[in-house]
Amino acid sequence: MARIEGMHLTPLGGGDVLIEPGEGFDPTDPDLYAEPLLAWLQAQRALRLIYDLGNVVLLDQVYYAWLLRLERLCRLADVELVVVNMRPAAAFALARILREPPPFACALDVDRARARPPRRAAQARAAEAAARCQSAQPAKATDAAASSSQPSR
Amino acid sequence: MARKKKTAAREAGTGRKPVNKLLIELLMLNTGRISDVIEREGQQIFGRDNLLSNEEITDYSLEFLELFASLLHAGERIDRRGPEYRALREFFNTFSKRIRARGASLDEFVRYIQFLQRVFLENLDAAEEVSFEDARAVVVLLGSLFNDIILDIFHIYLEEKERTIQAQQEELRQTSTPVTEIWDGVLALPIIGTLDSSRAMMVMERLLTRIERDRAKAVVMDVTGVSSIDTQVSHHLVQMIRAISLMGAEPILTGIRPDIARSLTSLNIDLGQVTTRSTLAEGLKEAFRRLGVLVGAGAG
Repeated sequence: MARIEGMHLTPLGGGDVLIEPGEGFDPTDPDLYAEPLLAWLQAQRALRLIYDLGNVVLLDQVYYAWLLRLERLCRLADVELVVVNMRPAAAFALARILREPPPFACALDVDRARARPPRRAAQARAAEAAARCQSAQPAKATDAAASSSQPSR
Repeated sequence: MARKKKTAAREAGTGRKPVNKLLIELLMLNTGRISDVIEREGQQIFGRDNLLSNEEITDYSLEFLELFASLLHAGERIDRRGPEYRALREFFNTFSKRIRARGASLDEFVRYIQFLQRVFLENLDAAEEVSFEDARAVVVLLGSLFNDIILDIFHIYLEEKERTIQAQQEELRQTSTPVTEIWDGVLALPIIGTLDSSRAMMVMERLLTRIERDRAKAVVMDVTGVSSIDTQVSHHLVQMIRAISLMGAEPILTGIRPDIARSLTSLNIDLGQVTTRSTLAEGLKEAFRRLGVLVGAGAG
């Protein structure tokens, strides 16, 4: 387990990383976390960052801005951000201030987040499906899909 | 206060008895008769529909006379904050509750109070030595006392009614938006009627708590029973759908009737990213499909 000031980071295996904001975490200063976090994710060859909101009672504009910033950061590093354990009160408050759906995925808990198909694999499958539609030879397309859906790592 | 002092001074100056004392004397002289009349009238009002038994009527009549006498004995003036007045008020409160619980209306109670007042006035009429000024003072005192009691009981009655209405509204709200777990991880929420802000907040709170508690994977929201949709309702719907997604469950919106669909499009509400199905059944099938549950007709 690694520690960046105010947050715990735990590699879960398979490219999944769990991030738990702690007591000292300050969402008003995203610059403080961006660089060391990205460096750590890249060092871990992370594919998915699972952000645990279990300790966050209320999600306001400031905290949501931090999550948006983190999602952009993750996208640059080709890491999927999945937010988990959002409390009902936090979801309630956030739903009232959102004007459009959030750009990150949400899951009920860490297990559900890990059970989601990885985004890269999902993208690959979508590309294969598109290719299948264009192809006049369904059998060959299926074979290609089977071979390309093997994990890349 | 100044007026009371003035009246007391006048009474002292003219050698008149205080009204309370006068009433006590009247009561003492005619206790038997007053008690009989009260019982008889009580039986006419409350005995007819078996609201009170004869024994109860007798008990209540005696208790009333006792409390009324205590109140008159308590001082030269009636103290509305004194324990005697509070005891009399409580007596009538209990009495009105008892008869209303047995199906009497407030009218019957008011008639009874008016009758009690009349009994004393009739006795006053019969007493020859009572001067006009004294009689007037007694009428004023009885009028104000019994009117206050009627008002008190009326307020209590209104408060009870208000509480009943609120409890019924709450019950209606609870039952009109039942969150049901149709299958492991599948919640169904049929919305019936209108979706105003307070109801939307309540539904959302209950729904999100259930998602967390039941670890729901999909929520089927059925709006077949929504009578009409406006900007506010659609806004609440979108918020609910968003909150469900934020909790990590998948929202499925079903039962959008053509007129509702027309309203949604004219209000520029984009449900493009929301899974919609025409009926609740189709929505449930979709939820099951996502969970990998196969639903089909049996071979038989």
